[in-house]
Formats: sequence, C-alpha cells, structure tokens
Amino acid sequence: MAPLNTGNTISLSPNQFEAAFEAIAHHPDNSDLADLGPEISRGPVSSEAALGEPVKAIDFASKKEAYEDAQRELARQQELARVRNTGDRLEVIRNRKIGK
Amino acid sequence: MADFLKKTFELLVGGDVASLPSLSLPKKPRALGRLTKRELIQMESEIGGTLFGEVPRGHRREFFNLDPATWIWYEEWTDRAGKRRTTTTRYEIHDNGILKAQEGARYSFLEGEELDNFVTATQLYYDRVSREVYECDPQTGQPLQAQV
Repeated sequence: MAPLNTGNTISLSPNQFEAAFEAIAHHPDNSDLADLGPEISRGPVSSEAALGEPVKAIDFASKKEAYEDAQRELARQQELARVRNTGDRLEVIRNRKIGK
Repeated sequence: MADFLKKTFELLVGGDVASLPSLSLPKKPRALGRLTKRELIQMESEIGGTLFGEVPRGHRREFFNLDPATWIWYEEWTDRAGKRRTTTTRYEIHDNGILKAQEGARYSFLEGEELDNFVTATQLYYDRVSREVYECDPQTGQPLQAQV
C-alpha cells in the first residue's frame, strides 16, 4: 500500500470512510487499529451515555450575567487605576517643578 | 501692542482692516521659576476649568487635582437675585470607587456616564497641564524641547 499523504485533506462519504478504514486497519503495519473499527463505525457516543448520567442543562443566562458583572467590575477597576495613575503622575511633574 | 500690529498690517495690506480677523497677541507665557505648589495648582485649574466646555457668562469654574487622590470642582456665579453662589464638589479616589462629595453631606459613588466623563476629564487635564504648564510630554514626561 502506498504511504498516506498526510499533507492533503480529502472528503470521504461514510461508505468511502469505512472502506478506507478497513483497508488501513487491515494493513499488516496497522494491526493494532483493527480493533477500533466497530467503535468508530458506531458514530459519536452521546455525552449522557459517556458520563453515565444525564447532562445538566447549562444556565447560560446566569453565566452571561456573571460574566457581564465581572466585565463591569474589571472596567471600573481599570478606570480607577487610570485616575489614580494620573494623580500620581501629576504629583511627580509638580514636585519636579517645585524642586522636591 | 495690538494697535501697533493692526497699523502695521494696515500699512502692509492697505484698506479696511475691520474685516480682517482680530489681531491679538498670545498671552505671555508665565515665567516658571520657583513656584509654590499652590501657584502651580492655580495655573492648572485655569486649564481644568475649560475642559467641560464654555463657562457660562458670569460663572467662574475651576477644576483641579489637589493631590493624587483628590480632585476638586469649584463653580461660582451670581443668581437672578444678584446673590453670589458657589458650589464645591470633591472627588475622592478610593479603592472601591470614586466618591463624589458635595456640600450638604451628599455623597455618592460615580457611576455610568458620569464616571466615564470624569475619567476622560482627568486624562485631558493631565495631557493639557503637562504640555501647557509643565512643558513636558504627557506620555514620556520628558521636556518638550528635548524631543524636537
């Protein structure tokens, strides 16, 4: 079998993928892949099945509110820092002029 | 001096000088020798008072930085009854916000647009005062002449 050209992206239909996988998995150099065939061909596993329990719905509204609160607080802290920094810099140039 | 300039201009261009833009000399820059902190703040406040737009006729407005954590807004005007009125607002920089303290023990933290305007005013104040009073670059703090 010719080596795979990993630098190219190709699109395969599900049937083509199965065929390609079978060909690759049964190549003597790739014998360890053969066992994965059925798992992969089964398709994506649901998160519920994977975790063994129902997935809780994410409360996006409260998360968004918390995020916006955090953003507001951050902006307020940045503005405070700017004003404080301005006051400090004024003190420096003033003292320089006075000769302190 | 303005008359002298006007006559000189009339000699040069001839005709009606009334239609020309008014001629005035720029204010003579103050000598900056050994000034006190109070005098420097007075000079700063003249600039600070202009940052919020035109001062209404008959009003006197000052806005200045008293110390790193305190800014003062002072306004003085005559009301319709001819009585002189003044108002002083002190802005204090605290860790949890900027406290606005007005006469009559009214206190509130700046929020929203008022906070934004205050922050912008302090930045403008610093930019203009650096250049016009201290003759230094607001970004680097270096003397302006040294950068030419």
